[in-house]
Amino acid sequence: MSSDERAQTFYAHVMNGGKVEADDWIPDDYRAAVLKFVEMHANSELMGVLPERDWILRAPTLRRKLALTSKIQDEVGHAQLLYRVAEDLGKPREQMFADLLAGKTKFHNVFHYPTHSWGDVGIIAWLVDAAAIVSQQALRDSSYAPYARTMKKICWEESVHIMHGRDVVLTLMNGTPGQREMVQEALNRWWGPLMQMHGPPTNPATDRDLTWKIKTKGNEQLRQEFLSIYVPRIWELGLTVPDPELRHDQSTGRWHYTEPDWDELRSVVTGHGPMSQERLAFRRTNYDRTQWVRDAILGPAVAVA
Amino acid sequence: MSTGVRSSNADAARPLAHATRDALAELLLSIADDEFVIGFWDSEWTGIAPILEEDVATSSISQDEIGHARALYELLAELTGDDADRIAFGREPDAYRHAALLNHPRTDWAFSVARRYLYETADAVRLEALSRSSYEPLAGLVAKMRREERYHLMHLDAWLRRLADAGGDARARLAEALTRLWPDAMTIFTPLGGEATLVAEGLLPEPMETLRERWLTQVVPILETLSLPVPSGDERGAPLTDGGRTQRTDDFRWLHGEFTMVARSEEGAAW
Amino acid sequence: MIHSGNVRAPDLELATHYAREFYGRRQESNRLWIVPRQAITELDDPDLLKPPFDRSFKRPGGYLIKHKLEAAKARAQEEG
Repeated sequence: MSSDERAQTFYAHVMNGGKVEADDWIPDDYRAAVLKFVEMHANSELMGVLPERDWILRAPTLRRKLALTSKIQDEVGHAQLLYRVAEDLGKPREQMFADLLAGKTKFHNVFHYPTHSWGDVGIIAWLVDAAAIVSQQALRDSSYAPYARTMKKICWEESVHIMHGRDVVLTLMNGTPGQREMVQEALNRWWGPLMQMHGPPTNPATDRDLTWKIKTKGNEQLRQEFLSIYVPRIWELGLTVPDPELRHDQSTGRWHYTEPDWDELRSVVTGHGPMSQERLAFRRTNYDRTQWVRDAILGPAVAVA
Repeated sequence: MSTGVRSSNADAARPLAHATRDALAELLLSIADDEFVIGFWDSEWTGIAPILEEDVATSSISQDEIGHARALYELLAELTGDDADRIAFGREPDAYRHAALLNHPRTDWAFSVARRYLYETADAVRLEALSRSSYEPLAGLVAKMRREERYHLMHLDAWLRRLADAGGDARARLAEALTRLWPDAMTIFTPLGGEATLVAEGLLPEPMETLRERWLTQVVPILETLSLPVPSGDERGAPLTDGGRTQRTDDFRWLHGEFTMVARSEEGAAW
Repeated sequence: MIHSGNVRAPDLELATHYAREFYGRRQESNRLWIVPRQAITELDDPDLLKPPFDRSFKRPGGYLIKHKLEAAKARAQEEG
């Protein structure tokens, strides 16, 4: 079978719902597409640690300290799982870190924004993780099986984070006027990035990630799912969503909303977000400071099943 | 709610005498604050540890410490009619009773490994003694803690040996960290004011001085085998002063500012 | 991948054939991993795998929000 014929068979297989394993024969285009997708996801988990990390020290009770540290530990764990998937596709971890720190690869928009209060901690754990889980649940059907398997574990862990976040928000909403104001203020700042998080609608005809079933749902579909589940849960607490256009059209079943600022999204994910450079610099500094440890104790990289 | 001393009459749990209760409260606070403060310093490694896999392990260990601190604060709260979170978050820096060993920030990886190694091995000696405490609630809690601490000892031993065996820069950093830490290392065993009472009643089976000597007898040969710095004879024998658990540093004051920041923003609020 | 069982065999090649017989002859498997026992390191220490302190904050059961949710909804409705 020629290489072209092999590729055709492969693409027919994935387009028909077939699965791919790490050591299958994989055409270069698919390999590159999956790697890019997984690498950005891994980068996002790693950078996602930073907005919340400041609050580990500031958590106001023993239980919240435990829950928040555990949540962030999980995000590090997710980064590890995803970098492992990407490593098995042929790119060494050190190269991925280098590309991330040099700004050559991206991470999701939400992790480029600052946090201001404990209210952010609740909103992020509840709603940012919720938006992420909507994507991740769909990715459990990815054609790339190693990625799909990690999504199952990640979804289970994220569901606990969302409960923790909602618990934090509810406690604040049942608290003092100052605490309720803290939540509303945080929601006002995070709504825009949340609406941009799933990305602009793409053209199914040219979106190879969709065609090859690396991802199985389109961006708009994911955003609609997120709105359907979470907007009612936000409104029932007496919180206001800072979008006067936001409403559910009963006849079409669709949510209407102000068109997100796609220019802002593009600018942010290319490293121009409010915290993009500061966080990358923080990572770079800490990575450099611990290089001596890796030099001392890591031999040639060994994958252990 | 039983706060009695275990006696040979199984059904007679007599309440603690005032002086005994105060001495026990002081002891519980010192251990709880040790676990609380080291848990905080090491939780700072979450997200930035040298290796991703190690990041997760270090975070687990620091969560264990906070979990132990929580259980100890809860026991103390029962004893004194207080609230665990209020004890943990509601004091001024000078009222914390952790050992001076834990005043230091996490600094770098070698320092964190060295400090944790010294702490875990010292704590193991302390916990072994307290597992024989005549105060049942404490003995029971300590038995649970020792089960979790086994993993800490295994893990820190693994790192100590790896850094030592790596030689070169890694070994040098580890050695330098140990040298800096030894003067404060023994402060874990600072005798508390009520020690005589606790020892007499068996709540603290042996004096801290005895525990210190036992720890040094265990740990010094291990470090010597690895050709790592150990305290001099004079340092080993130097009496431990009160300051070992009462002197607070700017680094700790900074940490205190961080961990009380949110709690203080709305006094009396639930979080 | 789940652990299915084990076989005895003179060598890894025959072990692979036997694994197919025991765990694949009914088309019930897509893929089998065959690993010699001496390559396996086992961890079964309960102190490490089931440590005794509360870890409910790591599981869904650690977050019971029913009453908090009802209270928050009631207050929101009251405020109109």
